[in-house]
Amino acid sequence: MSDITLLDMILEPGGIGILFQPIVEIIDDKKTIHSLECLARGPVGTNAEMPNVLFDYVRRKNEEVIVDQTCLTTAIKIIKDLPSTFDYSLNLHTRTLKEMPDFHSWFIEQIKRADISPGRIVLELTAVNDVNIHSDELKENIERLRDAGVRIALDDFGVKQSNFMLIMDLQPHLLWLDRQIVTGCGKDPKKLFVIETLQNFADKIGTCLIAKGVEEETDYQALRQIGVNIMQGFLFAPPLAGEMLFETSYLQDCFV
Amino acid sequence: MSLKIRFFVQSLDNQCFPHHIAVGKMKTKPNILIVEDEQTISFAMKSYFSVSGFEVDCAMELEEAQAFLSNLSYSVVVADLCLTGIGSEEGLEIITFVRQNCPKTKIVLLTAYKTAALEFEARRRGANFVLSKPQPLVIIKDILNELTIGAN
Repeated sequence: MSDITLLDMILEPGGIGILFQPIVEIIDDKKTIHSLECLARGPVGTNAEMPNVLFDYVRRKNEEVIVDQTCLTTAIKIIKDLPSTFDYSLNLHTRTLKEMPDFHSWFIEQIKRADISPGRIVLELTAVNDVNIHSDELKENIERLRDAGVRIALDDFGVKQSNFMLIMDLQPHLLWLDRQIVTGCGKDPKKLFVIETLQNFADKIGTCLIAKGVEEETDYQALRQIGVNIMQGFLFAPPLAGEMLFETSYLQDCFV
Repeated sequence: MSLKIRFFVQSLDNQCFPHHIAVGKMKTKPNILIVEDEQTISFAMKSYFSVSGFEVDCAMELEEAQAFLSNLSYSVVVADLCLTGIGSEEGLEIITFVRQNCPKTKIVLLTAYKTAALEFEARRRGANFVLSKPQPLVIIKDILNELTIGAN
């Protein structure tokens, strides 16, 4: 069949676009940029421009490895030319680390070639749809990446396979609390109690908790009161293209 | 088939948003999903149904259709039976997927290999119509109108 599939379009040069969404850290009541999350979008003009559709399709096709590599190389090319004052968070499926035992050397080579210090990179792991999560390849890759100075984050914590066992396996530097737990916490004491408990847990194991999906001022204030200081969401900034973030002083307008 | 054709099929009535703008479709017309591996056919259907008052998306693979159906809402799915060659039956899998995940969505199955047994199986799984291919587009449009009465 000679017709072009959606996967072909994704893997074409320019098929993947990268947006950046700030992760905000509140220090002494001032909002500062903790890091920038790189978010992949599928080919323009297709439904895969919506990230849920893009990655749902990729997982159903079992093509996480090649698409993760495409997203990472695209993001690294853009980050290379962005200010070196920021740290960047890059998303990755756990399946890629399991199925590509030499991922660590491939990735370190990519960022070194782009002259990016490993210390500026956070690899944010998602375990969505990974039914058999625990593997030696995964642990080995994580250890090598950590040794090289790359920080590890666990995404979607609190839902599906992103659970306490995975924290013990991966020992992440950062823990992304899933938006289903965060959004609306300002008006839901049960959600807030869960988050407060997890914040205490994160403090005790030396991990930073990040609250994802903060969209309301009431949520922000409630999170502040229980000691959550790192957040992300539309309340602060939507995902934006690199040129909008850095050429229109958008960050300064938001966070000065 | 060139990449340009594929791109055009996808973007015919979706504006091409730049990457920095969040995509959110404002759908006011009944929306349908065409699942067809032959892009010349899906292009013709998309063109015709778009000017007939429908919002139209196209998928050419089972996984693509499932990803769309899991994240977007459709009034009707028009699916071909064979997406990966003669003898394949992805259209039946789509019927089952829709019935399990999108109970309000109607389904029209198209097939060049219609038999009584196939029609029975498709209806057993929950198809609303089973049509032979080729089929005049005006007939399919009338069925879509019938199935979407009362839809947005």
